[in-house]
Amino acid sequence: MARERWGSKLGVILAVAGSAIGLGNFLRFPGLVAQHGGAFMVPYLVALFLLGIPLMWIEWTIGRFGGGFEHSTAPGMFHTMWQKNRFIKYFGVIGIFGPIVIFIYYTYVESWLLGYGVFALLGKYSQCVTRGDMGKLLDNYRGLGDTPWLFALAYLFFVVTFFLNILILYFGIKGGIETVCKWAMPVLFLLAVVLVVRVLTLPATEHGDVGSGLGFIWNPKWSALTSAKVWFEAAGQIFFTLSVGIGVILTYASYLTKKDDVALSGLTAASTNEVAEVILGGSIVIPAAVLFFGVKETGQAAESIFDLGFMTMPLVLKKMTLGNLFGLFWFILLFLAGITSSISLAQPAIAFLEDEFNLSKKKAVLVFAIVTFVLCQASIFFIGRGVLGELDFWGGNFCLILFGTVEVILFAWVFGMDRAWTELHVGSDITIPRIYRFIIKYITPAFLLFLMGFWLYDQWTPKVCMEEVRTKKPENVPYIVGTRIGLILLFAVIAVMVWIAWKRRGSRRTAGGAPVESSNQEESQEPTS
Amino acid sequence: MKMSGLIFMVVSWAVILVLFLYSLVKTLREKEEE
Repeated sequence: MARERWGSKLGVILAVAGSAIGLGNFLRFPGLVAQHGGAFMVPYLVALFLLGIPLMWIEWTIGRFGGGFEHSTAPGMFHTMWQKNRFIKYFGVIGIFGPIVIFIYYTYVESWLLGYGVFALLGKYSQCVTRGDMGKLLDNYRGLGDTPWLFALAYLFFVVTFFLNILILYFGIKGGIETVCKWAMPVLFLLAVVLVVRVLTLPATEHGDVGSGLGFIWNPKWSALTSAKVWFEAAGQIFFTLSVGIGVILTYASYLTKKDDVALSGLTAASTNEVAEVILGGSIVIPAAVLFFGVKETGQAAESIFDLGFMTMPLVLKKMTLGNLFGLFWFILLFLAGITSSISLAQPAIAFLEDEFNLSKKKAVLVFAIVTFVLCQASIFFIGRGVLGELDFWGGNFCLILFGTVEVILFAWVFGMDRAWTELHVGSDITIPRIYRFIIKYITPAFLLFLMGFWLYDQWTPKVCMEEVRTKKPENVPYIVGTRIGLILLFAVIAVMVWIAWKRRGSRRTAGGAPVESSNQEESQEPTS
Repeated sequence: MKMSGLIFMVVSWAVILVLFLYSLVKTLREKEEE
């Protein structure tokens, strides 16, 4: 079976940028900057250059290297990088497990955007006047209120969104993911620019003008620079926004050929994401909200991305001329950001089934669709029981930091910096400054270990012991425990699949057939492409 | 908006834009050469 490839360099860059640009760019980032002021950008930019960009290069390089050995996912890639270690492939399980866990709840949230886009077009929330009204609508939509028909509608939108994701994946890397990202990303940027222009040209209100809205975000709060928590949050945001530490970039980069550049492509994808986040994302929701709601109410809204995206912003847009149209633009923008991310989250699991179990694309997509559709039901029907938050904590936080740390240590210390640097520059269209040798070897791992240490210190004990849940909603404890058991089982199943896949390889080799990897890494250390 | 806020905004935008334009121009130039 011929290995899939990207159709063009621009296609893979847009696909990786599409994976990185998500709801966080337009909702989480502006909320964080608004909380800490412009001084937040100091730790943010430091983290971008010392953590984000190096990790981007590391993942692109590992991905292309592993792809050369016909591996599209972390277990096989980690194994090729450290063949003497029998257990390293099991760390790679995180690179399949994490994206599945995020996919389970992300697709559902993504479907709200589709539903709200239709609502905006039809003026369905026109009777809502306050954020409280919008909050009630959102609760009803999620099945937490007393209008079952609205929840049924939400479920219908979820099925449509899920089917769209599967349809794109069914057409493969070039025909599905690349094609969609090639038109979705320009449309996304166009919509974002239209909304930025609209917000920046809004007339002044009783709460102030656009300048006061931008000032709410950018005026520095100097105390932020001396707060360890702010540095931690800035580093976390860089981590999450670039989609590093998930396993998705590894898989995307595995479809490159050996001579394809990774250094410039990684940098272009990262900087495209940053434009969407810092310039466009920072200029829409918060400045607009300040104009219509004032500083105090916007400050409250900025603490929740759901509040900003589904409650505050629709009300703001509704008050403008052609409000329905701008509302539609807002939700299409977020939906495109969401779907280009969710398809990337699905790809590692599909690629794993194709590579390690020789399933055809169609069968792999079908298996993935059936399994994840069943798993998604937990985040839909138990959303009020804290299941979504629990999935986000383990899949979207813990796994990312752990996986990123393993990757950088493996790349710089086990694979070896000399070899890693050479591999990074194969086919490169730019020469990376030599200072990055030092940064990748010492600074990025130290940064990540510090990040992980602080994160464990700050969040591990209260979260694992469910302190907040026990105090505020003790009735949710069984659901949280059930979710954890489910996650452990899912991880165990993938780990067993890895074990079976490698056992099959071994038995094929000892049976005298063509050794699965004899022509590449196990003996010659030369990739197949 | 205070002057310090404006400086933070302009500098942040400038850093990101320079990085983006550099990588984009380089990418498009390489594509043309191919």
